Order: sequence, then C-alpha cells, then structure tokens
Amino acid sequence: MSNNEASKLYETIIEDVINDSRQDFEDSGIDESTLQDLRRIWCEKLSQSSVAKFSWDEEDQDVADSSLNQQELPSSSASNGNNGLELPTSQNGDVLSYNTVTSNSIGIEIPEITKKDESDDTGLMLPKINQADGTFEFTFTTENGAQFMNALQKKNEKRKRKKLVQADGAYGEDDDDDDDIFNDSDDINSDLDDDLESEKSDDEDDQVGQIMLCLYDKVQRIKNKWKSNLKEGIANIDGKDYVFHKATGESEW
Amino acid sequence: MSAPAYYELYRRSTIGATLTDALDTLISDEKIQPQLAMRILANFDRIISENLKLENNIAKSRLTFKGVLSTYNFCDDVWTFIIKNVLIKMSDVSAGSTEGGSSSSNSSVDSEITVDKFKIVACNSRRAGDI
Repeated sequence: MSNNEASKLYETIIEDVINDSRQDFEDSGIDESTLQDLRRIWCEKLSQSSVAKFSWDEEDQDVADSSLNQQELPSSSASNGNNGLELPTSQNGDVLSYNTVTSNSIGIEIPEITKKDESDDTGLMLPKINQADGTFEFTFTTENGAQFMNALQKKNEKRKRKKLVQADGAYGEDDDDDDDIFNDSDDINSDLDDDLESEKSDDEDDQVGQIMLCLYDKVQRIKNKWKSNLKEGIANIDGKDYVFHKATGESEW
Repeated sequence: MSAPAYYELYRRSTIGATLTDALDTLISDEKIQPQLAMRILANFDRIISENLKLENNIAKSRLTFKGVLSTYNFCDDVWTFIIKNVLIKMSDVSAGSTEGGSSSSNSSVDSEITVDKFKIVACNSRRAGDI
C-alpha cells in the first residue's frame, strides 16, 4: 500500500503552516529562527513516527546530527558551568592563599586541605564555603605532609561525597515527604485521574492501533447493516499514514 | 462564526500530534507563548482541511472497508465507529493519471490490509462546507 500521498500532503501542510504562521510569530515578537526551530522539531518528530517517508529524511539526518552537536554543546557548556564553579573556588583559593600565609606563619598545610575541599566543592558551593568559614581553624603538625594530605583528601572526599549524598538524600526525603503529603491530598484526584488515564489509554491504544479521522457525508443503517460515506480523511493503519479523498464502508452490527 | 471555523479533529493525526509536540517543546523551552501555539494550531486546522479537499489534488485515493461494527456512537454531530475484523482496501489513484477518482482506474495501485480493530472518528462534512 503506497502512501506517497500522505508524505506529499504532510510536506505541503508543513510548508503552509510554517509560512502562514510567520505573521503570527512576528505579531508575537518571535524571531524567524524560532519558527525554523518549530519546523525542524516538527519534521524530526514526524520522521520518528515513521508513518511515511519524507523528502527531508536525508536532510533531517543532517539536522539530527546538528541537533546532536547542539546536544553536545550544552554538555560542553555544562563543563563550562563547572569551570564557572571552579572560578569561585579560585577566588576561595585567594582566600586560601591568605590562609596559607597565616598557615606558613604557623607552619601548617591546612590551606591545601581546604584547596582540596574546594576542589570537591565544585558540586556544592555555598554550604561548604560556610563550613570553611566556620571550621577551618584546625592546626596540624606533621612531617609527612603529602601523605597526610592525601589521607585527608580521601577522607574529605569520602566524607564530602557522603555529605553530598546525605544532603541530596535529605532534600530528597523532604521532597518525598512533600510528595507523600501531596499524594495523600491527591488521593481523591488520583482516583479521578486513574479513570481519565484509563480512558486516555483506551484512546491511545486506538491511536497506536488503527484510527481514521475524516468527515462524513452520509451514514445509513438498514437493520443491522451500516453504510457510511466518508471523505477527506487521514488513516493510520499498521503504523503508516494514508490519506484519502473518499471512503465507503460497510459493516454489520 | 464565533466557533472555530475548522474542525480540530485532525490534530489527533500523526502530523497534528507531532506539531502539538513540537509546540509543547517550544513552550517548555519558553521560546513561545501558549497563545501563539494555539494560533499555530488554528492555522493547522485550516490548512489541513483545505489540503484534504479534492481540488487541491493531493488526496485523491479512495478507501473502502468492510467489517463487523462493534461500537457506534453519534454525539455532538460526530460519528465514532469501532469496527473489528476489517478489510481495508486502498486505491491509490495518484499512482495512475486518471483524474476525478470516481472509479479506480486500471493503472491505480490497489492494496488490501486486514486489521483486528479499526476506529473511525468522523465529523459532519456539511459544517465544514458552511464556512
């Protein structure tokens, strides 16, 4: 079963919708690139649905690649964000250098510990800074400074990881508690939602299966025999879309 | 006509659902306002309705189906059928050059598919013509 018509129709619709929506975008003060984003996302999603073959599928792969690059870019930007996190640590490093001055006067290597702490702080900034303000008044005397430092590093890392996990967990528990509260309060609604969802799931099953959207000219019934004259429809059959101008059907109830 | 002049039922089709998804993506990215999305969908309603009409020479195929009517429903001028054990025949007139589509030409490509369950949602064609 050929569905070239569906491809052609869909491509025409996309062109028309994008062109006709340009004025609406301008009226809303949205620039052209967003309109093209809409077109690109639309085409991607259509290709993913694989209901038909589209002329842009090859182009779309390029677009998809570019989108992948774009996806990579935010990750790099995330790393940049880490760099941004590191910058404040460097500022803290300045503070530490001050500490090192004092520590040099004392002859203690605490600032290095704090440095490591700060390197660990890339994940959570503010609370540890506060901790640093409060707690970094220890004085140690050791001959094997490097080993001591390494041990402290590992311990600090572990502790901080644990603290991080605990902190996240604690927040998560709080959130969970809230969620539980909400869930409790939503129990009634959730029952209603279940009903809605069940209905939706039925519809979705039908959509996943075979559905036809169209107009009817005439629907006749003689005893248990139904005849229908339909037109201008789109049908999704076995995962493929088909368009038709006219459709006639007979069925017995 | 205060009510929307075109049916919104085609938004449930693949191309409508994907457009809605794309608009949702832009809204969640805060690139556009929901109001604008509604206007785009209204454009879509109009454009798909117009393009499905015969005079646009895109949708020319004919479809016939035969099956057991499981459920029928008529509400708010909308027919809904659920038909089971359906034999669907498509006559792709576009493969041939015959114009009109009143009868499938010899050059048209006929194909058949049998499906267990088939749902039809149909709106009144006359209201669409009243625009």
